[in-house]
Amino acid sequence: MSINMLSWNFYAEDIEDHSRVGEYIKEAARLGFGGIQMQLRDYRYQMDQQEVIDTVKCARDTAHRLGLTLWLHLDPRDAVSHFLEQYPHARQKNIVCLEIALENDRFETTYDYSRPATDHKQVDVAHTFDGIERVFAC
Amino acid sequence: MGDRPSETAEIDSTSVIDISPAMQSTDDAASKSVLVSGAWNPPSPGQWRVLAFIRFSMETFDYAGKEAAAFQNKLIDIYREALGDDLDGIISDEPGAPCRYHILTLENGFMTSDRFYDLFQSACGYDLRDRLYQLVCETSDGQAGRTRCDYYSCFGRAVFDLQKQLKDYSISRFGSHLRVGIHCTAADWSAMDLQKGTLDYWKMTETTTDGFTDGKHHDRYNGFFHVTLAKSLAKLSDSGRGYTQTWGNFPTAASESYWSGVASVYGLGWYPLGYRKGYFVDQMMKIAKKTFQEHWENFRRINSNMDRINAITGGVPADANVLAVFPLETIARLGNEEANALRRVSHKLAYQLHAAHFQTDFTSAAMLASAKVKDGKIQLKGCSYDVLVCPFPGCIPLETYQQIENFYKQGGKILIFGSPPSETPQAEDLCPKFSKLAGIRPLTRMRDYFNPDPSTPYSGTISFTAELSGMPSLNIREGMYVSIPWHHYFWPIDPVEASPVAFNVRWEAEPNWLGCLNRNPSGGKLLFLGFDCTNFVDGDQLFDDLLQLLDVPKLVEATGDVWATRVSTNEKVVILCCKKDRVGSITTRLKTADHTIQVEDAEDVVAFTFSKGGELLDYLAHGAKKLIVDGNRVLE
Repeated sequence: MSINMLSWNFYAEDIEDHSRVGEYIKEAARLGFGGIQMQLRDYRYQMDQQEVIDTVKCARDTAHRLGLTLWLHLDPRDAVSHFLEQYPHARQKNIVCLEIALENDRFETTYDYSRPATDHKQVDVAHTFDGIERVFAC
Repeated sequence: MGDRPSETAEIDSTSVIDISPAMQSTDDAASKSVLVSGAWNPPSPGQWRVLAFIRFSMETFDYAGKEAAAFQNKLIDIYREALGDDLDGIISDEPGAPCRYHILTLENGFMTSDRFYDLFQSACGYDLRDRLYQLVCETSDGQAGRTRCDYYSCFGRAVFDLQKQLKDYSISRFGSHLRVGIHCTAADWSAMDLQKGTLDYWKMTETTTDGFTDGKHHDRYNGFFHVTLAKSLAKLSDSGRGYTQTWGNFPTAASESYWSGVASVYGLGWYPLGYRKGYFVDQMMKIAKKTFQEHWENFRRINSNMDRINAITGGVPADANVLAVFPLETIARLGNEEANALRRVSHKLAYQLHAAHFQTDFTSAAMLASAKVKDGKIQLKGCSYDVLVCPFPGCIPLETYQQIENFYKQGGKILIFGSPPSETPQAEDLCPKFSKLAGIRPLTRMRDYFNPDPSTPYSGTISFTAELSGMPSLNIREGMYVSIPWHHYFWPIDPVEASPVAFNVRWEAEPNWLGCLNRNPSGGKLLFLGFDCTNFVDGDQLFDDLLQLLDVPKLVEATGDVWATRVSTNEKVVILCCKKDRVGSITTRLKTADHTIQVEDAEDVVAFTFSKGGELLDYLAHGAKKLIVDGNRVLE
């Protein structure tokens, strides 16, 4: 049986005002959706915080009361700051390749990494220079 | 500022020297810039390149680490405690999506970690760090391809393990009713990294209960690719699960949701708010707000029609007679240019085939290799296909190539776009085999352009007894067509008639390309269109014409601006059609082998159900002014 689900991103405003959650889910039900997928997209909060847990509970209760299914978006990236506080050595590394001209047997370049790194869900991801992995001449 | 390395430059692995000790770095953390420099005396004169790989520490987790898995479990535990077992589903997002990704430049590095290097060493038997240059440069010995496959395969394994644990652990905690899915945009900005390393659609039985959702909002091609992929997964994968969804910044099109319904997918959604500030939100938010109400109304209407379609089809997948290979397993072998060409062509392929009313399924290289070929058809999971389409099969496993050859020799019809089958992931050379099969001069490497002399004009005199000017034709045999480009038209030449056949297709062709059609006595046909002739132009009847050349029958023919398909069950046949351009009234004439249907001014979706004996059982044609089925007026 197909269920038409709505992907819903929730933010700090929804976490701080659960009436917004109720309104949104009621509107989805009125429009004929069979379910909600909820995903936190606001890094002012993280998935292991009580406020977020309470919001999910509120959404689940509202959805089920209206006959909608509720799916929760959940993976470690949803609480990455807390994760890295617990496991500081579990950071991922990123390798960038630069091609540098060799002139008079010397090579030199400056790499600017001031531009904020991003991943799919985060902006302004902190990243720091960690070292040289390898240099090849070919 | 160092340049990003040129992808096309090929280097000799034996001449590569590790000069890491010669490099110094000075990091200015305040301004976030690092000076890298060094001195090095080359052992011989000549043009030397220096490739420096510098490492950043990211504020994201290591997929290969045990900590991520432990933390994932902890989050599941938290919500199990808070919600009891009363949760319907869990979904994760963009598995393995690269961090440090810049959306406008497609610039992203390679993700690693100490543990990843250990995992790689253990799995592949060598230290990736010693071959990092092979991730960005081709090597003359083919080793780079193997290294890339190893890298993405290894990274993908780490992501796969985390996903599998998400499924297994969450179900163990919440109970067997819990559904688990993955969202993967797999388009444009993240397509290649995601598809190279982190999402094997055909293994989702192990990592999900409900397949994947996609972000088919980038363009119509992307949309149709994913709908077709979801449909194919529902039909051909072990899980029987496909799941496609429209979210993002553009509305669900009626046509797309219609195909979603046909695909027996689990869900359909629409996400109107755009991404957070910092992505493309500012522009997209304006679009979303402007059209918000319109989209909601469309969606509501579509939902209603989808329910009706689902009720009629019972979730049975649509028939298809075209099988297209999306060789996910070997994308990592391809350079970015070719990999993106594969993606682009696959997406347009899905759209164009549907536009021409040819129903298509996608499969993987491995699945194709495991198929049976009988009576000139590929048989897979109870489905039977007349024609095989291979976009950019430059690198395919040997078993897959042998299946292509086997299909051709047994009378199969094959359409190849872009690079020919050139090598296997193990760097075995397939060029001689393919050139023999296609009757063309051996093509040296997959990324080589096919015109051996680009300066040669194409407009010279054509001789059928010698090689064509600029064309790598080997022998012009009876029954074989070759083609020349002329003002962006494709002209197959019939050597027997010594004149162009009545066939032309316009597209945005570049000068370097090749097309040939070969037929063998068994009836097999192989149409090969070379690199750069794959930028199909909207509105062309390209695939209609190409598949006509291969004598591929349409399951449904439709006039007007509609999509149409046929769905068969053991008991009945369902004909469905809907408007191509979102919603609107349908006026069309449908024709199948069994039925002709004329409908005027119906709603955006219409459907007819026939018994196998041909009796009209049911129809959905709301608002239709005229409905004639097999010559009988059903309503006026």
